[in-house]
Amino acid sequence: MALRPQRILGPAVLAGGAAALAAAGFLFARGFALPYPAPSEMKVRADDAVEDVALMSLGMRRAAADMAFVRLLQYYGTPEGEPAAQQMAESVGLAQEHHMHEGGVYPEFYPRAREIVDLDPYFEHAVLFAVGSLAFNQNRADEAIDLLNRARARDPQKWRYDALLAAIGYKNAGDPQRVADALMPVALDPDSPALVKQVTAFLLKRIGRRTEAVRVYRLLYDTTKDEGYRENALRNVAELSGH
Amino acid sequence: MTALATLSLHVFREQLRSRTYLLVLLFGGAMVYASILVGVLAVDDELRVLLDLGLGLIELTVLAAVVYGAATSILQEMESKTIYLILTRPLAKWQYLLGRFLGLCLSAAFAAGAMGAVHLLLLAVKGWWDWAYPVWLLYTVLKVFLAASLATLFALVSTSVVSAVVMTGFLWLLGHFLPEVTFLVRHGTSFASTLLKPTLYLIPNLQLFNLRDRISVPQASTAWVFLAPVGYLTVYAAVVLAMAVWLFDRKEF
Repeated sequence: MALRPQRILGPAVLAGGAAALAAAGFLFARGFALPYPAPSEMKVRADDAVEDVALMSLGMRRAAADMAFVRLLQYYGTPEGEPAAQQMAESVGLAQEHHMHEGGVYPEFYPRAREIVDLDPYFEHAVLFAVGSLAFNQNRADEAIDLLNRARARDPQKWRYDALLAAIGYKNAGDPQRVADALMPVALDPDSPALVKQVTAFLLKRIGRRTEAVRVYRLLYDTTKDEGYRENALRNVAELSGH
Repeated sequence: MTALATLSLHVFREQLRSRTYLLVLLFGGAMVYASILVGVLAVDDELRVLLDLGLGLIELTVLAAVVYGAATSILQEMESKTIYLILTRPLAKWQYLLGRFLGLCLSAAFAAGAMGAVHLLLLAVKGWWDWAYPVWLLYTVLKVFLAASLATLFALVSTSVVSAVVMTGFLWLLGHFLPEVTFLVRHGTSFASTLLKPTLYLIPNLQLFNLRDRISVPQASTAWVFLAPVGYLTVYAAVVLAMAVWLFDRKEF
């Protein structure tokens, strides 16, 4: 039985088209690698997995990290109120004075922060916020260092990460003066998170460097939209200035 | 050439008159505006959230409008036989398909431009401005152009609007997941993985166009980053449309 030209042409056109598409992919996308962690390196919380995957498959990875960050803020902003944890934080010497995160243990904080870093390791604001909170508010330096290292591995140019890493080192060595010195450049950067400014200002106040504390509190007041931080900064500026 | 331009403008006008297109656009604009609410939840990171969600929503809205337009118009014209009115004129079938495709591209660019202007205005009111914004938007639109070519092909392959839209949507998702799929296939040891490897290049690599998702990635802005997606789109869409023309030539209405 002889093959008719039409019967040959169909598969031939399909094969030719497929070869041309593959050639286009090979030619233009060769060597292209997404600058994000591979799926095997990611650790996404089961509760958020569907949303994260849905957003990633729509090409909205940054938006997925944004949503995870909003969820982290809400989680951290919900009081857990455990007196024992509050006492522990105070005994460490860096207990915070803010309306948020007073007392709670927040066991989910690190997994949530890790999810953000896995989704978008270049999300500097979220990294600084999470590291600042873990290291200086929750006394969980190991987890803070782990997050920092994950972010630094992808984005080693960020000097704020180095400064925070140094501050954690000095904190572990029990040297609050140097902790403050290391944190100061980060805190004086208007773009750094309010939490880092708050931690720095409070530490400066505690170790008696009142002028610098006032400077950071003023910057905090000017740069954040969070009413809790603003009220606290205003109160401290008045207190430290002797008004 | 004049016939092509006339047909493209006709499709563009047809889209503008379409209730679905306008409704989707209106919905997209409202969603972009509503993203302010989510932005507020991020407190000091409001601008980033507003930027990311806005660009993402613009892309999805334009995609929905264009893919639906591509899938419905050809099938409807074939079903209602109005296609004869066009094809009885001195117009080649490839011109008809290319004209339709270009008209859809025009409507995608218009929709993205309109919603982008609203979005940029919102951001500017909040104190944000970046000259790179139009570039991110442009590559978003180029990505939708590629989807429009696929939707045109699938409208001819399938017999219903739903299946054409679903097939395009499926490739859209797969195209964004290509790096992950590639990772899984390359690390797979089964025979199926070996078989799948060559097919990876057939899936449209939409991440190439996704500049808006790599805004804060410190990478060298070489010309290739911007040229590769354009070259890829040109070849990929040309091949897909050529296959659509080939199918269309053999179609009996």
